[in-house]
Amino acid sequence: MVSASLSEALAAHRPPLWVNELAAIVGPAHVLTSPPDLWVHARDRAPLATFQVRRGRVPATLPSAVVCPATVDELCRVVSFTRERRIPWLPYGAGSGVLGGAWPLACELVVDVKRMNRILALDPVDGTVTVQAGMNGGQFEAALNARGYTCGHLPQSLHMSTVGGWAACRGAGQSSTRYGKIEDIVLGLSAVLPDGRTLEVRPVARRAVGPSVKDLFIGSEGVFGVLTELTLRIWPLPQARVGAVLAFARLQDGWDALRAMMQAELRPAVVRLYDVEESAQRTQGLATFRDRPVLAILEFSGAQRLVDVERELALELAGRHGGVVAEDAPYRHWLGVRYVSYSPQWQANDHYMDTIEITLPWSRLPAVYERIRCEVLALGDGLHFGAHWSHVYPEGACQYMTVRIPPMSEDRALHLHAQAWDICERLCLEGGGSVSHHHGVGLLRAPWLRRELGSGLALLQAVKDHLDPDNLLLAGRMGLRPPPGVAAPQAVLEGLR
Amino acid sequence: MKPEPAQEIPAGDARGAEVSGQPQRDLFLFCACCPCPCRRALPADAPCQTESVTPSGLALIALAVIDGQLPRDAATRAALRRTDMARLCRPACPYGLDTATAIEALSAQEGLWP
Repeated sequence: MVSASLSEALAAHRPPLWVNELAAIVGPAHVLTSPPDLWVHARDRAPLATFQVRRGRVPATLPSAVVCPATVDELCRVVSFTRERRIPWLPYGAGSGVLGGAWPLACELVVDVKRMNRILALDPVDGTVTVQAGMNGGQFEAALNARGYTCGHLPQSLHMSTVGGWAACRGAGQSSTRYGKIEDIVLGLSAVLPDGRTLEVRPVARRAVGPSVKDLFIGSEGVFGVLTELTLRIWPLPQARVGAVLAFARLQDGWDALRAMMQAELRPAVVRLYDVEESAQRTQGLATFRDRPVLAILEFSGAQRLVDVERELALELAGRHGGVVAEDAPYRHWLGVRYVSYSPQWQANDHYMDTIEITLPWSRLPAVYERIRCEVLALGDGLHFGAHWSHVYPEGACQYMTVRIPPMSEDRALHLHAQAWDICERLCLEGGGSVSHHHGVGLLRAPWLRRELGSGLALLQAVKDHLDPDNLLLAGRMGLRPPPGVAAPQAVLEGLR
Repeated sequence: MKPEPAQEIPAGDARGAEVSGQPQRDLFLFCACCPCPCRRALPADAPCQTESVTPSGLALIALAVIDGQLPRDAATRAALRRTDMARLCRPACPYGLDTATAIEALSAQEGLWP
């Protein structure tokens, strides 16, 4: 059933016969089958799901039930049970993914891992922390801060996501330029495989024992197994944090300045450059931006002397590209809202807002940005398009785009939404980029994944087939094969449009 | 009447005050559309960590009740009574919403309290 109303989906829902057997594993209170519980687990935070649920419609299907194991042992037994009874299932953290990876597509059993939410060990000598995958990100970082540390992984979704979700989706935080992305931060992990066995990648600084098994799971989005524990790098809280706000006359100057900083081996904790559209929202009334409409926000952190030197060098490089130091209000404002989502005010007011992040090489970025911007804006009057670059590298940058369609007929809006996605992803591929920098694949990106990965996708399918021969776990996600009788992701998406 | 969305989210709860003035359904709609950053205030040792006790989950349930998509039966009443965790999230809401109180008001107004 695709995009049925909730009442229709509930009328068609048949309670599973195996609830008592699951209850024997986790306790009756931790197997949820009531309509309200099924309803709230029928979505993740993909805007396409929000467009449905705000009108009382189920994005794809309701889950058959929700089970909440508290220990790895319980989880292994639940997973073994699904294999034995051939029950399709999916793992669920905080449901903060934005690509549809956690919607039930085939009335899957939802395995909610948030009861597995403790820090297990902190090793100040090695500078590592071991944490259960279901722990809330904000609580995790706060616990580390209380002991004088930071993990350095600070995504906008910090408070609304789990540590396991960060790794499963191969996330990137706002301080990634300094601390690295999640794949750089996670040293080791444990997982439960689709047959109920456990897998451990021991936490070490580096290894040369063949291709990285760890990296098979970081970014797997759960299709190869459920992460249960992670060991991550931690750092002493920085002695100093200093912001800097820059104004540039042209976007090209900003890109050149950021590239120069990265290629000069500088690693500010925060690097954010906004296009004119997004800059204007953040610089209203600030004199410096009247003639220089492009905003950049930097933050330097660490030992005070290091901060001073890095700031001086960065500002010198920015100055060579016409950047001038501006009022610090945009930096202070960003600090205040860095973990707050922009979307609810729009989604709750009948707009159709989405964000699309891609990776581009510096050499192609300006042309691709301009083509995407022009083509998206040409879709129709009243569309909003804005972009910023907040993860930068010596070789290129993440282009994070916001597309917003004003209230209009739903058919028309969803058609424009699909077109905007296609423009961004297609032109990214033509420009030599990657179709996702850190949000992942889920359902929504499957159409473009084959073009990016080529025969690499067949390799991932072979791993999936080996680990999950019955295709019970998250079938049809991440561009992989859906189970027989279930619509391919593309058809599901078409059904929503 | 719904307010025009602000282009940028103000720091603090200024936006929340604006949203708080909306009629009940709009509050639930806003909260249901929010990715729930306030969930960090849910105690890690609470026995129930599931979506339906978060403010955003409760708001989604309430929305479906108001719109006639969920039956007003014992299961729905039970779900709407579980406001303890959402109340703990109130101070962590960046928009200043009090979804728990709004849920309780809805339940009383609709005769969903026992």
